[in-house]
Amino acid sequence: MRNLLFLISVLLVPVFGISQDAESDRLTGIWEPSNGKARVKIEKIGAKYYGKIVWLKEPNDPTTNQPKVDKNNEDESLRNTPLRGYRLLKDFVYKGKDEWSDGTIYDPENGSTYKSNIKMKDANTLEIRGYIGVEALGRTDVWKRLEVKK
Amino acid sequence: MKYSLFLSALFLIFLSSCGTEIKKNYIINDVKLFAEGPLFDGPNTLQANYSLDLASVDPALVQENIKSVKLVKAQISTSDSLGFDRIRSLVFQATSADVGLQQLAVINPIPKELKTAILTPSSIADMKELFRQKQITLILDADLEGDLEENLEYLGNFEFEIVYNQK
Repeated sequence: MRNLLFLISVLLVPVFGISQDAESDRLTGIWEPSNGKARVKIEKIGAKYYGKIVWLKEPNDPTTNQPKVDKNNEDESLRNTPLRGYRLLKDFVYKGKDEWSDGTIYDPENGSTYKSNIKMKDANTLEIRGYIGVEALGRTDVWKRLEVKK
Repeated sequence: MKYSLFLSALFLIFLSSCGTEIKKNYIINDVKLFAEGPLFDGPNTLQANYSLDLASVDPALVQENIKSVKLVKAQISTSDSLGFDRIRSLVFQATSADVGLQQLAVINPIPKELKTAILTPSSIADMKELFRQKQITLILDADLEGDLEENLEYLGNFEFEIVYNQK
Protein backbone atom coordinates (compact mmCIF):
# COMPACT_ATOMS: atom_id res chain seq x y z
CA MET A 1 0.00 0.00 0.00
CA ARG A 2 2.80 2.38 0.95
CA ASN A 3 4.61 1.57 -2.28
CA LEU A 4 1.44 2.30 -4.24
CA LEU A 5 1.01 5.72 -2.54
CA PHE A 6 4.65 6.54 -3.17
CA LEU A 7 4.28 5.60 -6.85
CA ILE A 8 1.15 7.76 -7.21
CA SER A 9 2.86 10.75 -5.56
CA VAL A 10 5.94 10.37 -7.81
CA LEU A 11 3.72 10.24 -10.89
CA LEU A 12 1.56 13.20 -9.87
CA VAL A 13 4.31 15.65 -8.82
CA PRO A 14 5.51 16.34 -12.39
CA VAL A 15 1.91 16.73 -13.59
CA PHE A 16 1.15 19.37 -10.94
CA GLY A 17 4.55 21.00 -11.57
CA ILE A 18 3.80 21.39 -15.27
CA SER A 19 0.28 22.73 -14.71
CA GLN A 20 1.58 25.26 -12.13
CA ASP A 21 4.16 26.48 -14.71
CA ALA A 22 1.53 26.71 -17.45
CA GLU A 23 -0.72 28.71 -15.11
CA SER A 24 2.00 31.18 -14.11
CA ASP A 25 3.39 31.49 -17.66
CA ARG A 26 0.10 32.99 -18.86
CA LEU A 27 1.67 36.30 -17.86
CA THR A 28 4.23 36.07 -20.66
CA GLY A 29 3.51 37.92 -23.88
CA ILE A 30 3.36 41.48 -25.17
CA TRP A 31 1.23 43.98 -23.25
CA GLU A 32 0.23 47.61 -23.73
CA PRO A 33 -0.30 50.04 -20.80
CA SER A 34 -3.45 52.21 -20.82
CA ASN A 35 -1.61 55.31 -22.09
CA GLY A 36 -0.57 53.42 -25.26
CA LYS A 37 2.91 54.99 -25.14
CA ALA A 38 4.79 51.68 -24.99
CA ARG A 39 4.56 47.92 -25.43
CA VAL A 40 6.11 45.64 -22.86
CA LYS A 41 7.22 42.05 -23.36
CA ILE A 42 6.89 39.98 -20.19
CA GLU A 43 9.21 36.97 -20.06
CA LYS A 44 10.42 34.47 -17.50
CA ILE A 45 14.00 34.29 -16.24
CA GLY A 46 14.54 31.47 -13.75
CA ALA A 47 11.35 31.36 -11.71
CA LYS A 48 10.60 35.10 -11.90
CA TYR A 49 8.92 37.36 -14.43
CA TYR A 50 10.33 40.51 -16.04
CA GLY A 51 8.92 43.03 -18.49
CA LYS A 52 10.97 45.02 -20.96
CA ILE A 53 9.94 47.79 -23.34
CA VAL A 54 9.95 46.50 -26.92
CA TRP A 55 8.16 49.36 -28.65
CA LEU A 56 7.75 53.09 -27.99
CA LYS A 57 5.15 55.32 -29.62
CA GLU A 58 7.72 58.12 -29.64
CA PRO A 59 11.08 56.34 -29.81
CA ASN A 60 13.13 59.52 -30.14
CA ASP A 61 13.73 62.25 -27.58
CA PRO A 62 12.28 65.45 -29.13
CA THR A 63 15.09 67.58 -27.71
CA THR A 64 18.01 65.47 -29.02
CA ASN A 65 16.23 63.65 -31.89
CA GLN A 66 18.11 60.53 -30.72
CA PRO A 67 16.58 57.28 -29.39
CA LYS A 68 15.25 57.83 -25.86
CA VAL A 69 17.52 56.86 -22.97
CA ASP A 70 16.98 56.44 -19.23
CA LYS A 71 17.91 60.07 -18.50
CA ASN A 72 16.27 60.03 -15.04
CA ASN A 73 18.25 57.04 -13.69
CA GLU A 74 19.58 57.87 -10.22
CA ASP A 75 22.87 56.30 -11.32
CA GLU A 76 24.49 58.87 -13.63
CA SER A 77 26.74 56.27 -15.24
CA LEU A 78 23.70 54.31 -16.49
CA ARG A 79 21.72 57.24 -17.92
CA ASN A 80 22.78 56.19 -21.39
CA THR A 81 20.73 52.97 -21.14
CA PRO A 82 18.26 52.84 -24.05
CA LEU A 83 14.59 52.91 -23.06
CA ARG A 84 13.79 50.44 -25.82
CA GLY A 85 14.76 47.19 -24.11
CA TYR A 86 14.55 48.63 -20.59
CA ARG A 87 13.29 46.17 -17.95
CA LEU A 88 10.70 48.22 -16.10
CA LEU A 89 8.96 45.20 -14.50
CA LYS A 90 11.27 43.15 -12.29
CA ASP A 91 11.22 40.07 -10.07
CA PHE A 92 7.53 39.10 -10.08
CA VAL A 93 6.72 35.74 -8.49
CA TYR A 94 3.51 33.79 -9.10
CA LYS A 95 1.51 33.43 -5.89
CA GLY A 96 -1.47 31.56 -7.31
CA LYS A 97 -5.04 32.77 -7.96
CA ASP A 98 -3.97 34.86 -10.99
CA GLU A 99 -1.62 37.06 -8.92
CA TRP A 100 2.08 37.82 -9.34
CA SER A 101 3.71 39.84 -6.58
CA ASP A 102 6.97 40.87 -4.83
CA GLY A 103 7.98 42.77 -7.98
CA THR A 104 8.84 46.36 -8.82
CA ILE A 105 7.80 48.75 -11.57
CA TYR A 106 9.98 51.59 -12.83
CA ASP A 107 8.62 54.85 -14.19
CA PRO A 108 11.20 56.20 -16.66
CA GLU A 109 9.40 59.56 -16.77
CA ASN A 110 10.49 60.38 -13.19
CA GLY A 111 13.15 57.74 -12.42
CA SER A 112 11.12 56.27 -9.54
CA THR A 113 10.75 52.58 -8.69
CA TYR A 114 7.62 51.34 -6.95
CA LYS A 115 6.68 48.04 -5.34
CA SER A 116 4.20 46.29 -7.57
CA ASN A 117 1.67 43.47 -7.86
CA ILE A 118 -0.04 42.12 -10.96
CA LYS A 119 -3.55 40.69 -11.12
CA MET A 120 -4.77 38.95 -14.27
CA LYS A 121 -8.44 39.88 -14.73
CA ASP A 122 -8.81 37.71 -17.83
CA ALA A 123 -6.43 36.16 -20.38
CA ASN A 124 -5.98 39.54 -22.10
CA THR A 125 -6.21 42.05 -19.23
CA LEU A 126 -3.80 42.85 -16.40
CA GLU A 127 -4.23 45.17 -13.45
CA ILE A 128 -0.79 46.43 -12.46
CA ARG A 129 -0.62 48.19 -9.11
CA GLY A 130 2.36 50.33 -8.14
CA TYR A 131 2.77 51.64 -4.60
CA ILE A 132 5.18 53.02 -2.03
CA GLY A 133 5.07 51.40 1.40
CA VAL A 134 1.45 50.38 1.89
CA GLU A 135 -0.36 48.76 -1.03
CA ALA A 136 -3.50 50.76 -0.31
CA LEU A 137 -1.62 53.96 -1.21
CA GLY A 138 -0.92 53.32 -4.86
CA ARG A 139 -2.19 53.49 -8.40
CA THR A 140 -3.52 50.76 -10.67
CA ASP A 141 -3.13 50.71 -14.43
CA VAL A 142 -4.88 48.36 -16.85
CA TRP A 143 -2.72 46.69 -19.48
CA LYS A 144 -4.08 44.88 -22.54
CA ARG A 145 -2.50 41.93 -24.29
CA LEU A 146 -1.40 42.78 -27.81
CA GLU A 147 -2.10 39.41 -29.39
CA VAL A 148 -5.54 38.65 -28.00
CA LYS A 149 -6.00 35.09 -26.71
CA LYS A 150 -9.41 33.52 -27.22
CA MET B 1 39.66 52.45 37.72
CA LYS B 2 37.33 49.49 37.37
CA TYR B 3 35.14 51.56 35.07
CA SER B 4 38.04 52.51 32.75
CA LEU B 5 39.16 48.86 32.61
CA PHE B 6 35.62 47.90 31.69
CA LEU B 7 35.54 50.51 28.90
CA SER B 8 38.94 49.37 27.57
CA ALA B 9 37.72 45.78 27.49
CA LEU B 10 34.56 46.83 25.65
CA PHE B 11 36.66 48.76 23.12
CA LEU B 12 38.92 45.73 22.53
CA ILE B 13 35.89 43.46 22.04
CA PHE B 14 34.47 45.98 19.56
CA LEU B 15 37.77 46.14 17.63
CA SER B 16 38.12 42.36 17.48
CA SER B 17 34.53 41.98 16.25
CA CYS B 18 35.17 44.41 13.40
CA GLY B 19 38.12 42.44 12.04
CA THR B 20 40.35 43.67 9.28
CA GLU B 21 38.76 45.11 6.16
CA ILE B 22 40.19 43.58 2.98
CA LYS B 23 39.65 44.57 -0.65
CA LYS B 24 40.21 41.98 -3.40
CA ASN B 25 39.09 41.47 -6.98
CA TYR B 26 36.95 38.57 -8.17
CA ILE B 27 37.39 37.80 -11.86
CA ILE B 28 35.05 35.91 -14.18
CA ASN B 29 36.74 35.01 -17.45
CA ASP B 30 35.15 33.83 -20.69
CA VAL B 31 31.69 33.11 -19.38
CA LYS B 32 29.46 32.11 -22.32
CA LEU B 33 26.34 34.29 -22.65
CA PHE B 34 23.81 32.66 -24.94
CA ALA B 35 20.46 33.30 -26.66
CA GLU B 36 18.81 30.67 -28.81
CA GLY B 37 17.78 31.77 -32.32
CA PRO B 38 15.85 32.70 -34.30
CA LEU B 39 16.05 36.20 -32.82
CA PHE B 40 14.10 39.26 -33.88
CA ASP B 41 14.86 42.95 -34.32
CA GLY B 42 14.99 44.65 -30.92
CA PRO B 43 16.28 43.76 -27.46
CA ASN B 44 17.15 40.06 -27.00
CA THR B 45 18.27 38.37 -23.79
CA LEU B 46 21.49 36.36 -23.50
CA GLN B 47 21.96 34.44 -20.26
CA ALA B 48 24.52 32.45 -18.30
CA ASN B 49 24.21 30.70 -14.96
CA TYR B 50 27.32 31.13 -12.88
CA SER B 51 28.39 29.44 -9.65
CA LEU B 52 30.35 31.74 -7.38
CA ASP B 53 33.62 30.45 -5.96
CA LEU B 54 34.59 32.87 -3.22
CA ALA B 55 37.35 30.55 -2.01
CA SER B 56 39.28 31.40 -5.17
CA VAL B 57 39.61 34.95 -3.82
CA ASP B 58 40.42 33.97 -0.25
CA PRO B 59 39.89 30.53 1.32
CA ALA B 60 38.87 32.31 4.54
CA LEU B 61 36.22 34.46 2.83
CA VAL B 62 32.69 33.59 3.90
CA GLN B 63 29.54 35.12 2.42
CA GLU B 64 28.41 36.68 5.72
CA ASN B 65 31.60 38.79 5.91
CA ILE B 66 31.09 40.52 2.56
CA LYS B 67 30.60 44.28 3.05
CA SER B 68 30.26 45.42 -0.56
CA VAL B 69 30.74 44.19 -4.12
CA LYS B 70 31.14 46.54 -7.05
CA LEU B 71 31.55 45.79 -10.76
CA VAL B 72 34.76 47.46 -11.96
CA LYS B 73 35.15 45.94 -15.43
CA ALA B 74 32.70 44.47 -17.94
CA GLN B 75 33.99 43.35 -21.30
CA ILE B 76 32.00 41.47 -23.94
CA SER B 77 33.68 39.89 -26.95
CA THR B 78 32.46 38.12 -30.07
CA SER B 79 34.08 35.83 -32.63
CA ASP B 80 31.45 36.80 -35.25
CA SER B 81 33.09 38.25 -38.38
CA LEU B 82 30.57 41.12 -38.25
CA GLY B 83 31.60 41.99 -34.70
CA PHE B 84 28.89 44.03 -33.03
CA ASP B 85 27.90 45.81 -36.26
CA ARG B 86 24.29 44.59 -35.93
CA ILE B 87 24.02 45.37 -32.21
CA ARG B 88 22.84 48.83 -31.16
CA SER B 89 23.53 48.49 -27.42
CA LEU B 90 24.43 46.05 -24.64
CA VAL B 91 23.03 46.17 -21.10
CA PHE B 92 24.51 43.88 -18.42
CA GLN B 93 22.44 42.76 -15.42
CA ALA B 94 22.49 40.03 -12.78
CA THR B 95 19.94 38.29 -10.58
CA SER B 96 19.44 35.13 -8.53
CA ALA B 97 16.54 33.10 -7.18
CA ASP B 98 16.45 35.13 -3.96
CA VAL B 99 17.84 38.53 -4.99
CA GLY B 100 16.26 41.06 -7.34
CA LEU B 101 17.67 41.94 -10.74
CA GLN B 102 20.31 44.68 -10.76
CA GLN B 103 21.50 46.68 -13.73
CA LEU B 104 25.28 46.76 -13.68
CA ALA B 105 26.71 48.19 -16.92
CA VAL B 106 25.84 49.59 -20.34
CA ILE B 107 27.30 50.51 -23.72
CA ASN B 108 25.10 52.59 -26.03
CA PRO B 109 25.72 52.99 -28.90
CA ILE B 110 28.40 50.44 -29.81
CA PRO B 111 31.08 51.83 -32.12
CA LYS B 112 31.26 49.93 -35.42
CA GLU B 113 33.93 47.31 -36.19
CA LEU B 114 34.49 46.40 -32.56
CA LYS B 115 35.27 42.79 -31.58
CA THR B 116 35.36 43.62 -27.89
CA ALA B 117 32.95 46.03 -26.23
CA ILE B 118 33.82 47.66 -22.93
CA LEU B 119 30.74 48.57 -20.93
CA THR B 120 30.47 51.46 -18.47
CA PRO B 121 29.89 50.01 -14.97
CA SER B 122 27.32 51.39 -12.56
CA SER B 123 28.84 53.76 -10.03
CA ILE B 124 26.43 52.84 -7.22
CA ALA B 125 25.18 49.24 -7.69
CA ASP B 126 26.24 47.06 -4.74
CA MET B 127 26.12 43.32 -5.51
CA LYS B 128 26.68 42.27 -1.88
CA GLU B 129 23.41 40.32 -1.67
CA LEU B 130 24.04 38.60 -5.02
CA PHE B 131 27.50 37.50 -3.87
CA ARG B 132 25.92 35.90 -0.81
CA GLN B 133 24.21 33.41 -3.17
CA LYS B 134 25.78 30.21 -4.46
CA GLN B 135 24.58 30.75 -8.02
CA ILE B 136 23.74 33.89 -9.97
CA THR B 137 22.28 34.47 -13.43
CA LEU B 138 24.17 36.88 -15.68
CA ILE B 139 21.94 38.64 -18.20
CA LEU B 140 22.98 40.58 -21.27
CA ASP B 141 20.38 42.45 -23.29
CA ALA B 142 21.56 42.94 -26.86
CA ASP B 143 19.52 45.31 -29.04
CA LEU B 144 19.60 43.59 -32.41
CA GLU B 145 19.29 45.44 -35.72
CA GLY B 146 17.19 43.19 -38.00
CA ASP B 147 16.34 39.51 -37.52
CA LEU B 148 18.83 36.71 -36.96
CA GLU B 149 18.26 33.03 -37.80
CA GLU B 150 21.19 31.75 -35.73
CA ASN B 151 21.93 31.68 -32.01
CA LEU B 152 23.74 34.61 -30.45
CA GLU B 153 26.76 33.85 -28.29
CA TYR B 154 29.21 36.22 -26.61
CA LEU B 155 32.00 35.78 -24.11
CA GLY B 156 31.97 37.93 -21.00
CA ASN B 157 34.89 38.99 -18.83
CA PHE B 158 33.94 40.67 -15.58
CA GLU B 159 35.89 42.00 -12.62
CA PHE B 160 34.30 42.74 -9.26
CA GLU B 161 35.83 44.49 -6.27
CA ILE B 162 34.89 42.71 -3.04
CA VAL B 163 35.31 44.40 0.34
CA TYR B 164 35.06 41.99 3.27
CA ASN B 165 36.01 41.58 6.88
CA GLN B 166 38.58 39.01 7.82
CA LYS B 167 38.02 37.81 11.37
